[in-house]
Amino acid sequence: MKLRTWPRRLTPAAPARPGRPGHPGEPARQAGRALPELCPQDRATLLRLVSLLLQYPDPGLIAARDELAAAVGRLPESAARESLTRFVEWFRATEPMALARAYVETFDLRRKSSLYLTYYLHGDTRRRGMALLTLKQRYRVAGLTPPEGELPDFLPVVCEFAALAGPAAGEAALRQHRKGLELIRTALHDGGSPYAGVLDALCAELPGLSEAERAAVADLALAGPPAEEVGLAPFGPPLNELEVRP
Amino acid sequence: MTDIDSTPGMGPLLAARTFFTRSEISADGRTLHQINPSGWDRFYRDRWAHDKVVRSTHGVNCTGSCSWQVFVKDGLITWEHQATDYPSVGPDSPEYEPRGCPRGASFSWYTYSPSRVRYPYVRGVLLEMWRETKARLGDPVLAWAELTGDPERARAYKRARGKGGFVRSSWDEVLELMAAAHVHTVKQYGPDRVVGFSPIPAMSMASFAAGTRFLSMIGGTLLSFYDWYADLPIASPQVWGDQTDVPEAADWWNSRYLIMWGSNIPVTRTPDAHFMTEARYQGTKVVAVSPDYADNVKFADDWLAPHPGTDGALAMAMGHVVLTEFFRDRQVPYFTDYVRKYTDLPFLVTLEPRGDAYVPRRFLTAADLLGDGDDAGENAEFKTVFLDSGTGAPVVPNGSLGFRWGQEGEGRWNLDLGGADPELTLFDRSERAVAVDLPRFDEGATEGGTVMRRGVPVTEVGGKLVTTVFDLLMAQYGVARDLPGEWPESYLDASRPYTPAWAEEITSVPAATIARIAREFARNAERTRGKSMIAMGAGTNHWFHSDQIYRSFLTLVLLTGCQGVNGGGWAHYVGQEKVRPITGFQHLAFAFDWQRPTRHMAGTAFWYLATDQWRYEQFGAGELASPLGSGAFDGKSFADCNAQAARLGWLPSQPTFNRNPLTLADEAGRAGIPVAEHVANELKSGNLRFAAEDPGDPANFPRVLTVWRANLLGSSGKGNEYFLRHLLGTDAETRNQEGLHPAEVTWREEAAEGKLDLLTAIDFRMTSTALFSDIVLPAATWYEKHDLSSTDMHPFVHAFNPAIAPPWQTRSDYDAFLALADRFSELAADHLGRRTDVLAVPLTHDTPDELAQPGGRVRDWKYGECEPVPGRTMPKIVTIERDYAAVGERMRSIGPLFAESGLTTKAVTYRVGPELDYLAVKNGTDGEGRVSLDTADRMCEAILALSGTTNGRLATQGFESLERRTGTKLADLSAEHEGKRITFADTQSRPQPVITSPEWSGSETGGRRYSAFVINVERDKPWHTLTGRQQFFLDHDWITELGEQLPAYRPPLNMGRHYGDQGDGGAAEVTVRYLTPHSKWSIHSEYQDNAYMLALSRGGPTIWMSTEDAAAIGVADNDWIEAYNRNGVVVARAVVSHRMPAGTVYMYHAKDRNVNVPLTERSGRRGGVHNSLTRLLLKPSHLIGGYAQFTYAFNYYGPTGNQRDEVTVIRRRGQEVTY
Repeated sequence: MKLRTWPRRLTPAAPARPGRPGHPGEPARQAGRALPELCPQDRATLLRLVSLLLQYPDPGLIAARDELAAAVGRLPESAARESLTRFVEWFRATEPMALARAYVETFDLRRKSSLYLTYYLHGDTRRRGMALLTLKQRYRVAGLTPPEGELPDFLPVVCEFAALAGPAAGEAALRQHRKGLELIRTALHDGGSPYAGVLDALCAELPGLSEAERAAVADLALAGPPAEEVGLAPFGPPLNELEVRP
Repeated sequence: MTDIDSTPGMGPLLAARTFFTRSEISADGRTLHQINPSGWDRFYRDRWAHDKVVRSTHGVNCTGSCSWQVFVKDGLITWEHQATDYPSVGPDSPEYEPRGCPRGASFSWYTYSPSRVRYPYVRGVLLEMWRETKARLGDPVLAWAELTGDPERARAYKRARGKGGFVRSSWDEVLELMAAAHVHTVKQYGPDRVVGFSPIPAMSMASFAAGTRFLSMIGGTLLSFYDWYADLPIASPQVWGDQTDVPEAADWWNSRYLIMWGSNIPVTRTPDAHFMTEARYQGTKVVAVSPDYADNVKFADDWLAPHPGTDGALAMAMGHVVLTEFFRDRQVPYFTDYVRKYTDLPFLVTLEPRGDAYVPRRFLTAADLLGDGDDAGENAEFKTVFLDSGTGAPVVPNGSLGFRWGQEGEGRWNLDLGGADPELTLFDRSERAVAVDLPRFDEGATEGGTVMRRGVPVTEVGGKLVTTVFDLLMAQYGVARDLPGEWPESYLDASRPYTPAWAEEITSVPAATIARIAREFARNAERTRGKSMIAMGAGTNHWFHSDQIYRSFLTLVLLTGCQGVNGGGWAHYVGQEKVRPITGFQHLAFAFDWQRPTRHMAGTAFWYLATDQWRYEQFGAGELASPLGSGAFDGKSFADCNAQAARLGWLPSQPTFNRNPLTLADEAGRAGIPVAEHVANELKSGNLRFAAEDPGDPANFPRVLTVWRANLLGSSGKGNEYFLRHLLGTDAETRNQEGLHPAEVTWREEAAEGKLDLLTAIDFRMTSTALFSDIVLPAATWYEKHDLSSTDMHPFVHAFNPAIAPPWQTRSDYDAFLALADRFSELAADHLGRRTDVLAVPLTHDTPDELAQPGGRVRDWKYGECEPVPGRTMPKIVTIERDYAAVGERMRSIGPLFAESGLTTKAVTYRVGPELDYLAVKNGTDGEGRVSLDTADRMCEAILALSGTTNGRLATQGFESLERRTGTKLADLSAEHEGKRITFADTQSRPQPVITSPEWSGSETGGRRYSAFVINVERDKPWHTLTGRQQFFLDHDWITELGEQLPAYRPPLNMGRHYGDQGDGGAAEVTVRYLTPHSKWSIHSEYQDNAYMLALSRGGPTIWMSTEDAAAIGVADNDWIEAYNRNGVVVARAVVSHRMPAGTVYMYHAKDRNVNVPLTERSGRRGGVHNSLTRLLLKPSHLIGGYAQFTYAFNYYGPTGNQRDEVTVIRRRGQEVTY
């Protein structure tokens, strides 16, 4: 299997659909400014920051808000940094209890913007178990022990792995779940959540969506995650590589 | 090489904040090297190879009790499979294997679903105030007292219920808050103001027991669920003196004529439905009775579609046919032998003159023959009488209630007639006949109906005019013989009850069809000696008058000798979920090893008061009374009836008094008199009142409620909007007007809002209940804990096992309550210490309390009709010493009472010395040498060891003990298994068939299929009723007042008359009957929210309606509609289907409000759940007690939370909906 070489060009985002203004949450790079891409080390830092900022704002994270802001500030100028900077402003200015409420409402109690990535590809179906297992095994193959207390597809886990394991293997899961990320990002923008900025930052550094993927995202947003299928197919082995391959 | 934590750019604060724990990392934060790249391929090749297979099941509220295998790989649940290792049921029957349904098959992803509750949550507004108050005061108990005592702050967090705002907390913090609330409430208001609700223990006994054991130890109130769900068929205790006992599903196979009556078997008994279809292969005729073209109808040879709620009329007409053709025109020896021995039909009933005719009054008893002095012997008022057909002399046979208790009855409580031959009818014996007036309810200006005149043959015995129950039954059913009164001319006489033609006018089922089905049913029973069966379901059991509907069904199976016969009898499958190892379970669950009894409470009566639904009545109990009654209900409200039931010792009443029960013993001590005397004095003087007499007094509010394994506000909470307004104090949609003021119960002008200080839900789903709770605790799922499951559908006990450890911060119910008990004990040490609690215990079934109130005569001490005597005319007064600091420790071990007093179920006491010795080794002991219960699997082990169904030694011991009372042979039933003991490990390895035991009425001996009351019929063991026989006739005063001494047809309540037109006018509207049956896409609220079931069920709230009704208001399939009435409003999509009969809509039961429920047009607030349109109504005959089979037991007797009599208005709404 030929791995893509790093660094590579980011695919330009598709234009907004005809007759509709551009989505407010389209990544900043759409504005047309040519921002430099991040070097591998900064990219790892960014992923680590995304991992941290998407975790529950418990006292530990609250206490580290300045530190996180400083780390964001040290990122080189980029679309991702702009998005994170805006987020961190809100994150630092908001009362801890309000942050906690926002987090629970956004990520714990709203299925549309849950941070568990395989859910978007597999829904509440039996295929999800295999997809989770695939991720876990991938972590092990990379020499990392996945956490006991959290699922392997929890976005902060996936991002931390990406930061540790590097773009090729590390970000494979993010690329595979690109559609799910887009759904989360869209749902956060639709709900007016400041967390949309964190997803903007992440997605800005990932390959853009193809037309087909974009259409698939629209379908998923409309129809929700896949449901269990009837017939023989669901009982056989997975139908295509996407379901077990990273 | 760098440490994993020092990702570039991160400082020390975040150093420890990583998910991954081990690696060798490059300087730029990436892995240094790839480990064995070929490893990935190996995983791909091995992807279907699992690490382990774990047996578990799905369990709270499903009767299926299907065993499943869960496949685990790398600590993840990857897939699951139905277990296939059920023991065979024998060579001549289909097997149980495999069992399962689409709902259970979709369970596993609850584990990892984004909607799972993963952390402890508290609503932010409460948590902030709590943290502030606690920080300021230091003491959590004082903090809770201050916070809830401040009306401003209390209102702030109560108004926020149901409006989001949750934040994560920690177990430590939440447990401290809960413990403080519990301690403060016990101290300030009384332990009975702490309430727990968890239903249906059979499908996870240890999880249920964890909470009830804790609450029992602190003196909390435990709410019943079977009656509250309206699943309890009140007819069962009335007719049999038994809560419910039914055949296992494999016994359907043995049936030769099977009627599915309001029971949609393929949908609600999916894993067992095959037995019904297979029975047809051996020639069994299958009949469906259902108002709609339900899924089961397609399996039936005949489909009868009565109008909803008229099943009783259909059954009464069938009874008319059976009595006419199989008792009057021709006698069937099998039938007459059966009813004379096993039913009360030959027993004598006294007649009282009324106007120019007579009315039936009571059973004639030995006291009537001989006086109630010493001559008559003990318990003479509880020994019923028949005439011997040979001699014509009155006979007091063995087996009636009078023989069950006391010395003289020893060895005589049996159905052996000793050569006597009961006379069924006086028609051929007596020349004399009189006119009797009997109630009918199909006409008349009130629900109480009018009167019909019939006649019975009579004679005089002991100076009293008497007839037999059989002759009364013939009169009631209108089977003409040459007797006084007005009788139907023929089956085609539609003017008089209960002919087929009369029923045709009410039900729409053709008279000829009614006659044919009745004839076939009885003829089959005659040919097969009782193998005709009626599988009856919630379609007929959730009505206000379901007790009467069921009695008319039971008449059919009793007259034809089907009950107690394999393949015959009733098969009631409505939430009746059998805890097979009942003895060990209930004694441990209610902590009877430490203290007895516990504070049980009838759920419906509790909610009726707690949610202030009693304030909205438009009519009183008198509306229901027959004109033949004495007027005892005149001016009484239902709340008055309930208060009277509390003070006469009929029903429990929690909270009990308008005073903290912890103070009563202290007061008695100061006064130097016994506690019971003190309480009776205080009550009599009026200083002390029952809380039920003034539910609006803040001293009488329930204060702390914990709901686990349940979804009260999404599933069972009839009158949902009243819960929200009065109990929770948040937004509600009811626009109902307050109604009649009670005569006796105190009316306060201002209705309370927000009675409850703390509502906690323990769940793995964010249910409607959780959304309204102050605290949500994350529960382990059914694949993450040890527990036990059993059911009435199959005869096996099997285990839950953890496939994975509880993930995130979830805990099993068992561990959650242990932790709560620990924290409670710590705080209680200072605030409570040792206290004496005083309980008012209702007169209790299966104890000598059944003798307390002879004849079911109502005498009220409050009005001077008698003295308040605890245990006779009022509740028993019992004291319990509570060591509040020791609760946590006691939760974890078996207390001393098992060794001292044994375990008692249905009046059979089991001595368990060897079992305790065994458990001490098996489970280990605590520091005091007491058997350990510190884990759920040890609890399971103890439940199994201490029950007859799972321990052959105890089954045999129980039968031997029962033999001494009955004088008949019983112990051989379990002899084959005397040495057998089912361990928890056995249930983990494979489903285990249970042992025949006196805990239940059927027999599995020799591998036969379980059928209810087989032991009674085959071994002459009496039923637990007044006569000891299956009873057609009931003679408690309040039943007489309602006109329900005999089976009768009572139509659904006439809501149009009581509440008028509930529509607003304007838009096109239609008023329809509103039914909430169970669906194929959920088990209660479970499963309806997963993607799988949402896809199958249109994915949100729907209301099914007929094409006619839809056309009338211009609704097309899938249009948005609003359904509303005085109680609330629901938004749903219309499913327009020819399947539905005109005039009736279905909203399937228990779709949660967080599943695609839009805002309403009427109020702009979120639409309600199915129970937003319902409201509770208490039936007075469900409140009675203190007499024979009518005495109280938990989930055995009590008012039902019925909901089928409701109507709603439906209109098309704007099609743009917002969420």
